[in-house]
Amino acid sequence: MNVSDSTRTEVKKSEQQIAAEEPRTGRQLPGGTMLWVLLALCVLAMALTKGVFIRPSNLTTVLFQSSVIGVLAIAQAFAVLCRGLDLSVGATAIFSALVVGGASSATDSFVPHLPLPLAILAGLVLGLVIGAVNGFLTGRTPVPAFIITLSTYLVIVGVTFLVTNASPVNNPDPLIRKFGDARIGGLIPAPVLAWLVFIGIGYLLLNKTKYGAMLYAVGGNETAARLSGVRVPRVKLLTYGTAGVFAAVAGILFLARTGTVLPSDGGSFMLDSIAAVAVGGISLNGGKGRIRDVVLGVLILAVASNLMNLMGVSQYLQAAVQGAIILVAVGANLRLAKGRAE
Amino acid sequence: MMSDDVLVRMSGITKNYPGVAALRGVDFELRAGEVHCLVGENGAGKSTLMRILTGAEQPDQGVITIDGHESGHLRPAEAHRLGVSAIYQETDLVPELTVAQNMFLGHEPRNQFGVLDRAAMRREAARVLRELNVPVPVEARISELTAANAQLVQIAKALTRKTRVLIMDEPGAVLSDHELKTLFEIVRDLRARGLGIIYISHRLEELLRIGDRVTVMRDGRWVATSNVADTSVPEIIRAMVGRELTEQYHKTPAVRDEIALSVQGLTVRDHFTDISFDVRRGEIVGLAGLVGAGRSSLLACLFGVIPATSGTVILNGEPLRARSSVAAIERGIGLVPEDRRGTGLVLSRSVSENLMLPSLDRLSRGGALRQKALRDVAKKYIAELRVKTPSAAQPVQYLSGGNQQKVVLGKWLARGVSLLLLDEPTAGVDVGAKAEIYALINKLAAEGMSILMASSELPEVLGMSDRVLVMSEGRLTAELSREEATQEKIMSFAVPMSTRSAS
Repeated sequence: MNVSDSTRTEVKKSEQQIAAEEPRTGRQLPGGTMLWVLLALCVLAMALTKGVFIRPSNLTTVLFQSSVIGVLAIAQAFAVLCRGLDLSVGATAIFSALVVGGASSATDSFVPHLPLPLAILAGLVLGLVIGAVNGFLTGRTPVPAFIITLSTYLVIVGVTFLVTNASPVNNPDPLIRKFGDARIGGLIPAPVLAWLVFIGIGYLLLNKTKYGAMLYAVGGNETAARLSGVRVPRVKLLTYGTAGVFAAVAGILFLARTGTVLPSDGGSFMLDSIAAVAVGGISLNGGKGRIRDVVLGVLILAVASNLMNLMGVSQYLQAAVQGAIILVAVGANLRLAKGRAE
Repeated sequence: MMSDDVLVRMSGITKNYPGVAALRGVDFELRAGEVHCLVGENGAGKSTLMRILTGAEQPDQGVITIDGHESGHLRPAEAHRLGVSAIYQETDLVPELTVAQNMFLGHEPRNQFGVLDRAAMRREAARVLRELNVPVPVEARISELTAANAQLVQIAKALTRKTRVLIMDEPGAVLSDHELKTLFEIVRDLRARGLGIIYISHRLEELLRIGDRVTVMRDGRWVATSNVADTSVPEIIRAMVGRELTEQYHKTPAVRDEIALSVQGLTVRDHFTDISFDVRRGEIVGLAGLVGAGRSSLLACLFGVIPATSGTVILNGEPLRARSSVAAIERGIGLVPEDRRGTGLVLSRSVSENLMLPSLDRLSRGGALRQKALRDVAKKYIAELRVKTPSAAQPVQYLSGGNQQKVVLGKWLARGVSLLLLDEPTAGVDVGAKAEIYALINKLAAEGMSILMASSELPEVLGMSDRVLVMSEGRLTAELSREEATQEKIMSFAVPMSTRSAS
């Protein structure tokens, strides 16, 4: 008899094929598994830090630090749900922050001075334009989104260093700083509130509009969507355009929080946004996932990082732990999805 | 080997999934040298039973005896060692590898130094293919082969290992009648060599042609096993559905005088040439032919997916120049594509989302979805089409083939089209759902919809069509009225005049 290594994989394959016919029998936890993972993590954090974690000041810090990545991850989620990826979100955010900061700054900078509302508008339009370029190219050419947005990412980084001469933007309009430091009701930081608002906008766009329904369809099966009358290039244009605007918003929140922006800032933004989307359980194969998942992904990573800070874990080890979290979370999500399918 | 040797005996097999009893005390027996057909609607438990036989799942109760080895919980490696091989609908081959590489994937021959012995691999592969009379070069890549030949390579692959029990799941689904004959010759040859073959198919005519015995399952239970010679299609159907389907097609002609679609000299280079025909309102026109005759391309061209090289198409009195499916849909055309899972549905999304997809413009105002209208429409079509689903929010991937196909049809009903293009509308659909789909198509025609239906199932073409067009090698070779059309006549026009090479 000729027993071989392939036995196992072949059987697995056939298992999946048959699984498609079977009725769905698994159960889902209310709120999704990741909500329970987050809660468990919070309980663990409370126990390990002897209650420091649960102090309102610490919790608001966690949320405050999450707000930028929170909005950026929604931008990324749009691209991922459409079965793409946007590697340019981080660079777009920083470029927008530089433009808004520079234009609203009283001192001379690389952009002409503009009143604050116009400066903010300029930052948002910049995000929209970059997103539209990504979306146009993804919709009209066969080049994968990964490559297109990698290229735009490099172009944006190059241009930001060129126009700013690699120097920081220091003195944005004081109102921006004020917004960054404001506490609503003396507790909730204003950027966190802004994050909540954009979670709401993202939710409405995905669930309550025609465009959201089309986005999910294109992400799930582009051919089937096209054969059902969906204008695929237009959907992609809108998707990446939205991602660009959300990225610009994230950049402005970053500016508000720090008050100073360097062209070299935000180096980890892009990967953090992808990590949050993946940990939240959004399928990188597109067409499956909700805004809720993105938010949970961001929070899980933020709580883990906060816990390690409180416990004095070294930054280097933190990166390694983060890597492990991503791997475990994505693996668990795939397993759960498969379990449900059977 | 004696031909009535029992090769496999499965007795009292019971398998429960949470909330569902998939199998309830099923007995099944396979003899060496027989083709044993296994039939039942989707969800009847065939696949679970086979999964247990390949060791992919373990039964809760029951005993499996293969070739004298008794086991309560067979493991995949054990089943494999005992010679159980399975061939599934979607081919298990790696498209970018050659025929020989695929056949020996995972058990490549090695020389005494442990290095891959390519020459031996090619030699062995060629030998097996020659024995089976499969005219495929061992160096060809799978991606270059027709679906039919890929299927035959899969059988050959199973034979490179010591296979005693061969499970074939819907092997005929992608084959034309002509190719099916080749497949049957091979199956008969394997039977003569003493293999036990389990043949699963929804096409009952196919089973009668190839099977020795047939076992019918329903709702996870064994219903009947009989000799094929002693049974008939109506009898099998009755056993499968538990009720009598006296007339599957219930054809009531509804053809009106107005011409809905007029095609003149339509040509797409490399696909089909100079096709002309009309379809009237309320008419069902069948499009018969072998796989590769150009039927699917013709439908794709009318739907704007493939641009026409020359020719004119007139739809409802106005010229149709659809450059995209979006344009075709706006003119009131709908397409039910052949590859339901690949191009007909967004599998990860819900029943309701799929149903709505072509109608989103109508179901939204200023970009915002009209939630109530969405819910109402979903409810209406799920009820009207009798889609079996726990809820409108269920992802379509968990529905059975028949119910998935109802969703695809429902998309165009919800949108409201005047011309419906159907490409193999009942492929992989179980008998009960088939009858419902036929009834639905007839109803649509009666309401004045024009239907152009490409199908490889001749009984379906004959039963459903008011008129039959036959294509062969990209040309229209015959136009037959319902009265003149017979299986023999259609086949005589469908078989290519020139003899082409087999691969």
